Amino acid sequence: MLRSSPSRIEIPIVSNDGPKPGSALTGRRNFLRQAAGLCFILPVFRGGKLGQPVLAPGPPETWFVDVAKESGLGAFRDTCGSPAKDYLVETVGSGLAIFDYNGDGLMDILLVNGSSFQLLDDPSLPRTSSRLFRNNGDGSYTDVTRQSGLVSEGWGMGVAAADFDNDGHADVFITNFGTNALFHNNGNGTFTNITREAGLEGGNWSTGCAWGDYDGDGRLDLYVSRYVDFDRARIPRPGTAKYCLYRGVSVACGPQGLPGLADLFYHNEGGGKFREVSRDVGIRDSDRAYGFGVVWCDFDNDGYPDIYVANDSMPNYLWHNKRNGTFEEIGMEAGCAVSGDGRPQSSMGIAVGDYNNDGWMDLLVTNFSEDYSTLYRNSGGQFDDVTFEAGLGTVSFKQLKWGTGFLDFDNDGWKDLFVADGHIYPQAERAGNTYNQANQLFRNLRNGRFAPVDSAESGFTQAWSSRGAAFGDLDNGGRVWAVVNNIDQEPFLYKPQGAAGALPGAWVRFRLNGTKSNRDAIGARVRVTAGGITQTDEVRSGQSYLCSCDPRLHFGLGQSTSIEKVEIRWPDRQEDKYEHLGVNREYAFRQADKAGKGQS
Amino acid sequence: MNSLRAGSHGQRLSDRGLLETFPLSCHAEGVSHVRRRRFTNRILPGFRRRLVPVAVCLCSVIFASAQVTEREPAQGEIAPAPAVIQPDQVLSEVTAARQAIHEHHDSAQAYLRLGTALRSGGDPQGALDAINLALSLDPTLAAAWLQKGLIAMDGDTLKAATDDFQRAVQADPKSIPARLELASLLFRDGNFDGAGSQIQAVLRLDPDNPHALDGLGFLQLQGGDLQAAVANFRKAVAGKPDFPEAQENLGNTLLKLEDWAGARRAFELALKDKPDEAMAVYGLATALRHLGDAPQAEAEFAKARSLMRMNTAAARAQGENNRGLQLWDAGDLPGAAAAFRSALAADAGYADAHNNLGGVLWQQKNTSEATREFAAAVQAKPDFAKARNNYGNALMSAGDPKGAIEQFQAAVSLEPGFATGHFSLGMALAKAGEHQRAEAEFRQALTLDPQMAVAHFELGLLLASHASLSTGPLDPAARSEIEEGIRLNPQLGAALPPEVAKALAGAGK
Repeated sequence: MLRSSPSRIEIPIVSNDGPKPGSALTGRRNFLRQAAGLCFILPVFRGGKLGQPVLAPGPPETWFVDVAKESGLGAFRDTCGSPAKDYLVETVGSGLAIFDYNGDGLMDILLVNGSSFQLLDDPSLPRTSSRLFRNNGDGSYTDVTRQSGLVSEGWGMGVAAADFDNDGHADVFITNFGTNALFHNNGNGTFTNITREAGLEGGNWSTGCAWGDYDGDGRLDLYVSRYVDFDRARIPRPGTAKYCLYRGVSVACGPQGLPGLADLFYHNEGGGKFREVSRDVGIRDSDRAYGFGVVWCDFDNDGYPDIYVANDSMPNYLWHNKRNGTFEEIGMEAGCAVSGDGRPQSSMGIAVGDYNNDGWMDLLVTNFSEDYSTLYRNSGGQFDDVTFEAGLGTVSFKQLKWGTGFLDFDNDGWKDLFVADGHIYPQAERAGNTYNQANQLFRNLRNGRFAPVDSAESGFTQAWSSRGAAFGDLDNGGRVWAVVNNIDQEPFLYKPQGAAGALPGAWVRFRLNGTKSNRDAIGARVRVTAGGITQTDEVRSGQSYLCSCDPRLHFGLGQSTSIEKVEIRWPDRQEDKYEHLGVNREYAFRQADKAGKGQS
Repeated sequence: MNSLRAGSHGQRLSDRGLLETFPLSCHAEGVSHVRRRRFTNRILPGFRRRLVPVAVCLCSVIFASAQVTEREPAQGEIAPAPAVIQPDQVLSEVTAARQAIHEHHDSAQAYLRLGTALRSGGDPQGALDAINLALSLDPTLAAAWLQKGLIAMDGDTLKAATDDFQRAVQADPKSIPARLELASLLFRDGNFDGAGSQIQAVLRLDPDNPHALDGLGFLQLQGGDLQAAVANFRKAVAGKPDFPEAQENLGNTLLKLEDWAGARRAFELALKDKPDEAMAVYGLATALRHLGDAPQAEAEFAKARSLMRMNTAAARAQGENNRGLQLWDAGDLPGAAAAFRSALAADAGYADAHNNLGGVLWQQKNTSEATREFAAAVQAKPDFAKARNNYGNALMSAGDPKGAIEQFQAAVSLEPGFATGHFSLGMALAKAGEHQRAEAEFRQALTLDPQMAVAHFELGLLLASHASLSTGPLDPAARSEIEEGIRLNPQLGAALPPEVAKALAGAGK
């Protein structure tokens, strides 16, 4: 099905020996600057045998270590309402984005910030803002929010970074409790808020957002999920009504019993303008479901991106792309709207990935406490709830689950699972649960099952009430990092290590540039065959819980020393194929201008 | 003890959330007896917020079927309370329990019996008070801990319920209902091992217990032992054919085994007992899809979606209804009416919102529209005893005593433990000249709620009317009831007819 076309291959890449004390990374970064534009392959290892990276100094004991404080990211502290959390909006927290805002090849971090009713009520108080941290390349981050102009002072919820105008620079869309915000990247390290001109204000309470090109016109369209039609004056006080109790304890009311909001779907008209076309394209959220996480993905392998939405307390949506510019909702029929026994769950975040390497994109949907996160295995476009078969049924039953992702933390070629946890009710302690909960890591056992990684091994020992979680290779070292936004706390910056006696495998990373397709190649699918297995992933912007992850695709390769083939299906369904590639490096692929005739 | 307190003019927020209104007419003008109390009569099956674990089927069934082993009481011993009391038994149970307490002040069993009856009659606070008295007299009374746990479950205070069931099991390790209730809560709490222990203990006591077999099957399903799970689900439904939750569990397991025809049968059987169970409809649709019956599968998926949608609409209507209640409590009648109308916009057939809207309109003196709303509530939910009571009162005010009596009779027939219904019926019968029947209804109301001031008062007036006040002294029984009514609610003194007031004053000299 996939065919080869001699597209241009750029391989300007990097060693994976990780940041070292002193100026090693700074030096590398300078070197990269000098090398920009050239095609070459660097020798990647020093000391280790081929296929295995050199580890950080010292005996590794955990897979991850939180370095938020020392990196500078700990300067950020999320603001999300009052400590008592009397209103639902104070409980849901925010997401974050990992993206390269200044085009230096290093992934930067945008932490979305909340607000409080006190701030909303008193304009004289200093505002909160989302915070953009520049990756300095030496393990440290600098807050560049003010100088970048990416100042978003709303009650922030979600974020999706993508180059919506195909100018080569990543733009940022932020959803708010209030008016949403679109920041155009000026290409010089600064942003301009163009929300109004673009027509993307939205309103009331937006949560998830994700970019994708549903009609193949080469421009990125936008899905925005919305939650509760929230009017503080109309919300009952905790404990005063049926839906204001958690296990008998008075808590913030909702979402059940409160009016919902229809999701919004915007068509990119070009010229920096968007048009809300939800009804025109068949996205009639007539149930006004309480929407949270959103992700675009081609779930039925027909080459057209579908959209999955995690809804709180109601069936989730699977908007199937009918290939004619319209969608139909088929979540129930496809088996991924409710749990396997037909129960609507309280869904929050979404992980998308081919965890069993069968070529079909599976789903892990995180849910409320006293319930399990649901693993939907995709077989030919039809989903089955295989949570218990996969060993994930009881291991996170007590936790309230949010941000999530399939990430191959040990680079063995099988995608593992990360889940961010934390309750929404500080009062949970009185109801037999806990507010702060440790995050979780699950190892893919390569047989359809997962096993929890003990916190002593994962390194997730500090418990906060976590929300958004995003993933990416922050030091270009060939390992996936995790960044987590925590309610009323500093974030986690989980730096990958190597647990004792378990060295991670080889890897490869792909950066795709569309030409006919959208420039970020969002929606492009990559299949990598190495070591006897074929892995699949897609480029996306918007996933997990209200987050946007590293747009580059990372694949662990285990003990493989070479890659047999790489197949790319671009968003316009043009297909390219490459063979016999090396490991432990990043490849940049640029879509051929014309099928069969690549650019070099 | 009873939460309905006559003449309080107050409202009590219960753990259940909705409101009923009782616009009662009194003899005297200016004395309003609009009494409100919250209750629930609209439960969202399978859709309880945030508390919907995988063991939901097990929980619901255990709750409905818990049985306490009964034995014949020895001579002079108080009969143990049945764990489940049917609606038509509430009145007799309350009467019997009060009589037992009267005769045996220190009998824990008597208080347990009263608490059990009051809980079945929808009075959780009264029930809890009685159960606490029982436990203060006998802290080892397992059945009382069980009832206390059930009351906590009703209020969704699951942690307390777990503690209570554990106490029940400690007090009586052979208490199957306590162990099953405890197992269901441990399931919901994610303590699968703990739940499994309780289920195994039950099976040691009763190897054929269908709920324990269902629970065991569920544990096996989670553990991946699908064949064993199927065997236990089959045993459960063989022992208890009307067990739709076990049928659903069986269906879901057969789906995993790709026995599509078997799953279809199981879901169809589940739906025979609970035709609107969205989860079972979904399972049936899934089975049909695999069997290749695409049109029927599509229809069932649509039905499942529609049922889930109705649950959402109902929840939103409940939210607006609750908001209306809060506004009503705050005295904002227009705001409350708007909220109830909003609830009805979300769910036009929402009987509680009709009833509450009627109550607000009644207070606003818009009696004709109020009457329409009460009628709509009754039409939407014919077994809605409180709405029938309100509708009856509206009809009485409109000069239709016959229609009113029909509504009141229907109300107490539907809910024999409904004290206010008996009182209302008594009022209507008294007005129709049927004094003997009226007296009986007042007395029934007072048996159910000895603190109902207006019932004492009206009973006293009725008894007083039997004698000629101008020629003889006030009947002592009449005087006693009137005085008790006024003691409980001094405002009633202003409603005394002059001749009765005079006779009462004369009798006091």
